[in-house]
Amino acid sequence: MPTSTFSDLDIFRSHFTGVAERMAHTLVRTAYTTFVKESSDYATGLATKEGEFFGYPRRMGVSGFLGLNLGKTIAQMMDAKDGDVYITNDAYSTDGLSTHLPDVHMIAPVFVGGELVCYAWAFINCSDVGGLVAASISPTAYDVQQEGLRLPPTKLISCGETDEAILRIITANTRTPEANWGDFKAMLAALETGRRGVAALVGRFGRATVDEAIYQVLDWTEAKARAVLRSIPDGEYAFEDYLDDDGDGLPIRLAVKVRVSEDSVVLDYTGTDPQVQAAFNLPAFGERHPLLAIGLINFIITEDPTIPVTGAIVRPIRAVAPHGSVVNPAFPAAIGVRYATVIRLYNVVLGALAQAIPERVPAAGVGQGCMVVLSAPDRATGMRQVGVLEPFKGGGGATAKTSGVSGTDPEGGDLKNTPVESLELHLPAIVERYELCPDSAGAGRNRGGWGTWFEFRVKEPETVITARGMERFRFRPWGLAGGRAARLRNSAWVRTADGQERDLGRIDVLRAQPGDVVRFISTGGGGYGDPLTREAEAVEADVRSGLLSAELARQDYGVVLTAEGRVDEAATGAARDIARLNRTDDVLIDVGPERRNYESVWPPAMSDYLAQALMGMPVSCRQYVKRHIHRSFQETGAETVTLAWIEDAIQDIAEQLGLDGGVTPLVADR
Amino acid sequence: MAKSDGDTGLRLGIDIGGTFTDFYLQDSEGRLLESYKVPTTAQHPAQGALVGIEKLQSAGYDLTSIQYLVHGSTIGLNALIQRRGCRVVLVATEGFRDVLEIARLRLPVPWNFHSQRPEPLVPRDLVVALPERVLSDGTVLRRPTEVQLREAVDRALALKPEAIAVALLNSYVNPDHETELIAAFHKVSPDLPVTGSADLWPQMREYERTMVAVINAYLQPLTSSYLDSFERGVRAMGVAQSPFITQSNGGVMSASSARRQPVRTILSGPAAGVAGARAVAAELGFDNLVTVDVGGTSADVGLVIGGEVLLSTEEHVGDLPVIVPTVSISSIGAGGGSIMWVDGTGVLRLGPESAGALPGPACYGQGGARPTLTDALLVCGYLDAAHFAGGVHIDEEAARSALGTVATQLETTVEDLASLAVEIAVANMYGELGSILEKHGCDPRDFTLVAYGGAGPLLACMLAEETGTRRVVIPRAPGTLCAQGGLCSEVKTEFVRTVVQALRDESAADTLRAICADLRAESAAWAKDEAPGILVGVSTSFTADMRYVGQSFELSIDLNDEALDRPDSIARLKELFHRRHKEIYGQRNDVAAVECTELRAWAHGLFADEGGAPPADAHRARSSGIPAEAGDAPYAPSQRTMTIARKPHEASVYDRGSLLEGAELVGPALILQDDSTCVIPPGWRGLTGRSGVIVLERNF
Repeated sequence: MPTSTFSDLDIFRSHFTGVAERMAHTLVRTAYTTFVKESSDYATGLATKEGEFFGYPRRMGVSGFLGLNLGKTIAQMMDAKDGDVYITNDAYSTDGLSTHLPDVHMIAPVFVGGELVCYAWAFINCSDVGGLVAASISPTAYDVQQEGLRLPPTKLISCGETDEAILRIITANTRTPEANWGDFKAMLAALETGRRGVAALVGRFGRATVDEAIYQVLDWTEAKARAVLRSIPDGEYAFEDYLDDDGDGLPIRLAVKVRVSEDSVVLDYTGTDPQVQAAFNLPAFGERHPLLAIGLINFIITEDPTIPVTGAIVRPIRAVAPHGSVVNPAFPAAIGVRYATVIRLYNVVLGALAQAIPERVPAAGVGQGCMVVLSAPDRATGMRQVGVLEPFKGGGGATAKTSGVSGTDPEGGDLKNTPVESLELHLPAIVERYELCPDSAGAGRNRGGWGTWFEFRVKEPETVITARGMERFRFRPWGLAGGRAARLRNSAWVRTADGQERDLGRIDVLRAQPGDVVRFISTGGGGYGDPLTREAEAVEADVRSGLLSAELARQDYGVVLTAEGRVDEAATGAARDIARLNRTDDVLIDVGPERRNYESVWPPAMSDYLAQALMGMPVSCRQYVKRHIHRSFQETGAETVTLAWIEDAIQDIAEQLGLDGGVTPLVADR
Repeated sequence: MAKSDGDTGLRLGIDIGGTFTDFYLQDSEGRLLESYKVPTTAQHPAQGALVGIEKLQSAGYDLTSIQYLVHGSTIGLNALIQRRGCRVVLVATEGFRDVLEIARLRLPVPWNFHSQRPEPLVPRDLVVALPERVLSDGTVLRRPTEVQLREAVDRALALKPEAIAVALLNSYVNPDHETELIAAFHKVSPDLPVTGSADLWPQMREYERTMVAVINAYLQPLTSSYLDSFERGVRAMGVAQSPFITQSNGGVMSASSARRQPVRTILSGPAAGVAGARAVAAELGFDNLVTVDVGGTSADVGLVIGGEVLLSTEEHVGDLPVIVPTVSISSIGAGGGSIMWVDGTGVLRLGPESAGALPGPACYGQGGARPTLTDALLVCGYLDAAHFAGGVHIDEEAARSALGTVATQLETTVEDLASLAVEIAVANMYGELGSILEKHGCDPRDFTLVAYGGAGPLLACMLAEETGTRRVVIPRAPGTLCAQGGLCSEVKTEFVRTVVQALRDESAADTLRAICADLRAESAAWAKDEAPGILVGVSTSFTADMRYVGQSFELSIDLNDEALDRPDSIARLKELFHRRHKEIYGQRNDVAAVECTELRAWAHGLFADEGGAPPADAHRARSSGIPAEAGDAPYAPSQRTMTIARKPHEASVYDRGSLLEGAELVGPALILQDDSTCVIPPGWRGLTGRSGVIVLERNF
């Protein structure tokens, strides 16, 4: 373990973090759009010449980008000079620095006294970069070219002078040129704050000391991260989870083997499904992309809240992500909705860790991040007005120490809602109900958080409601260590003005008219620990609050209440005894009956095998073959798929498509 | 303490803090007579305050000549943080029972697996849903029937509440349903305190407005009974004057207002400190200030920009939002109690764990074994055992022994370790302070740092060096500035109306004019009742919160309601907004639609010139700035070695009380006084002003 040679490193950590936070404040203060000001979808930082962040804000902006590496981008900033600024939003040429096109990054070299000291960096989620739809993100996009303007690392500012030609190209390819340029200027101002901050530090401490301190702070971070990882028992821990739909009606399987060896961890995603013809692909290229490891990074920071916030936190982590899979897609895969995949990967990594250290990770939360957006004609202008009604998640998973949080999940816990009074002022809708959803939380000694019930009445003709990113219609958020999975409550529902009711399922777009009532319900998080050991008084309190029905109190917790709503001690004791006797399943992770049924047909080992077999085929054929094989097996009517059957089926389809059995994947030119 | 003769108009400020209750006594001209501390009696805080007043009597002061009494306390704050308020039942609109639990969704520490939002002050089973609905334009979608109102009241009362909060959706634009419900409560249970959200603070955003009402209800019984016992005690001692109570907005209010609106008192302590710092610096002509208050358990900063205390409507107390205007205070550390430790990799850390008031630093000898920042300050030679706050005995050997363990771990000396700990404390504070300045777009070179609290003057110059601030001001009594601050605060309050009015053309002026007239009337009614016989009138000014349509953040623009009659008043208002936007954000958009979201009225009570008790408004009272010429160097009774940046320095040691006007102080030096010590590092030079204030500047 590297040990710091000087004990005064905290002084430098403070200064580096301080500069990064001042950059963030500059950016927020001067930015124009709500994305930045309200949704906090931005970040700033200082990176080494190798591209590792040594200064990063602790409490502002996006935390998940901490482990990003600028190296590949810096390598393309040939002979960058003082006053130059580069811009990029392209995943494919930057090793996934940007992971979808609306994320615009800027990098400036910081020179002090003519010598390069480090790089200043800023990013924002920009309002629109062109593409199929407003805001540039559509799940139906099947290649990245449909998603907007791609900017490989490009010099936007040369020695302080803006390259007007480049700027014109950028502004010509967006629906929101003014807002973009406003936010770009905020990023440039933030970079300038970074430059000044670093110059002041060099002036104060001297070049050599600052240089040395940068790398010492990184080594210190690494040592602390390794100390946390060392507390996980060595071994290989496998887990998988699924996204609902690959666009062809089949679940997308995300599988990981977490290999812990002393103080380092490998996240091996071999066995994960091939990339899809929809925008769920996550361009997490490289060996240690942070979006493949958010669950693990958050684990480290939770276990050691005093760890310096620098990019070296990912040094002990390595990822193996098969090329052409949904977590390492080949060009030109569409990537716009990659965050749905990131959310599920969070569950996958934590589920694997749970097998080693169940008492130190949470059960699964709702696992979706959905924005309910309303668009309606504006009578005054004749244009359409568009706005987010509410961000819509659901409950968080319970831990050994705490019940899950309600209405949101620590994954995405920085998300803020819109006050109902504010949304009613700005959008033509009347909210009928915005409450927690009863009977939605997974049972456990600590229960999951409650999901949300959001219901509103449409006021304007030709209103369009979109709710992209709804998930968990198929498989439940799992429970841990005896805790139960939350029920499948996620739903969208409408009652039209004429009284007709319709369950909408997993909607993307809904047209609605005045008087229509639209309801979104999200489920809660999984529970932790045996529900029969939950304090009966806590169950009584949940019933008294109106969020748990007396029926489920009895069924899930074995708690019987009197007519007055008090615990009936005798009846409860008896009910719990019987429940213990009748218990058949004793699993660490309760995934719920739907997933058990699915995996009885497609056991994880078979899905693993199929995914790896598909990797031997051309990228463009993989999703087709997967669908073909799943359908063919369904037609056989057999109960469980076997290795032999899969081998035969692959042989058949390969012949039909004119593929040799062992065709190697085409490595597309990036 | 010795009584001076001829005091006919005494002015007394009292501030109850966690450890000490501070007293600041002035004569009618604002001259300091006494400044002292007594231990806070946590169980019966009024008792400690009364004991302190008795001390004046014992010293020969005639308590009947106290003409102006200002009192600040942490009763409300502590009750809120420790969850010791009363049992509140909340009545909310049907369909919105979870407004407190859902809050704004966001978690305090998003990435942490165990992060939780604060437990709601009112649990869900004490929330009663009323079938009613008002729309965003104030029209009624669903009116509650008499029976439904009565049912809601019955259900609420069946839950045995000690106070009621009523907060219905969109009540900020039409409070009728809240008003009807409050009347229904009064009819059935006239003595039960009921807070209506629209009556208290009619601002848009249901969670935050509900929170204001709920906090208010939660603190009401406790605050009332505290003020009752304080007032009784004070009267019994012969003080005729009813006390004024400090508010979170940096002003003061009558005791009866404080009983009605305790939510306005919760951040009053730090607010009074900033108000005091502003008054002290204004006397010297400095109006851009960073105020730094370092005490035993916290280090807080506030900002004064152009002579105005920076207010915020987004403050939080224990993760609960408070949207009534509050002096903006940011924590930059855990104060003198911050514990030193070595992490697994051999790096020295400081905090966030704190030894608090108990056991406190090792040198307090109250059982604290772990070394703290205060122990480091002692070992560096900055503290004097003979001069320590409130007569606490301090033990340097205990401090050295506590530091010794850590020094051994790091293979260094106790002295070097102590100095390093101070450097880390300063760097950590600067990390936070630099962000705060940047957030508000302030250039530190234009600012003066005002340091107070027991440890503020110790660290002030070092922090100023780091920040790039050139000047430091140390008030005469840094340990009791909060008590002093209350005495120079105005009697004031604010009123708000959410309007959300598009400013398309001049017709918008009618709406604004009507609201301003309303607010002006409300302000006049307030002034009449607030302090009869003391206030003779009110000065009311207006601001409009404005933004480009589609933005989610506003700028506050001064609004002259009398000019709303002019034909181009809206155009002028918009121009002011565009300009301010350009000033702050560097851009303006002349074609974008502009809207006004909130109108605010700022009411300042006017004191009678004679009689009553005008505050000796320090910055208006008289000039007592720094002398142009330095006088003779004062006599330094002793020398002492102090350590700065791991180097020893021979420092002259002065006694604050004996410094005359014009005394020049050259670093390295130490100035000792009862409630604080000021460290002047090498390279700094100070001058003493007429009122005893010290202004320090760095030699460049």
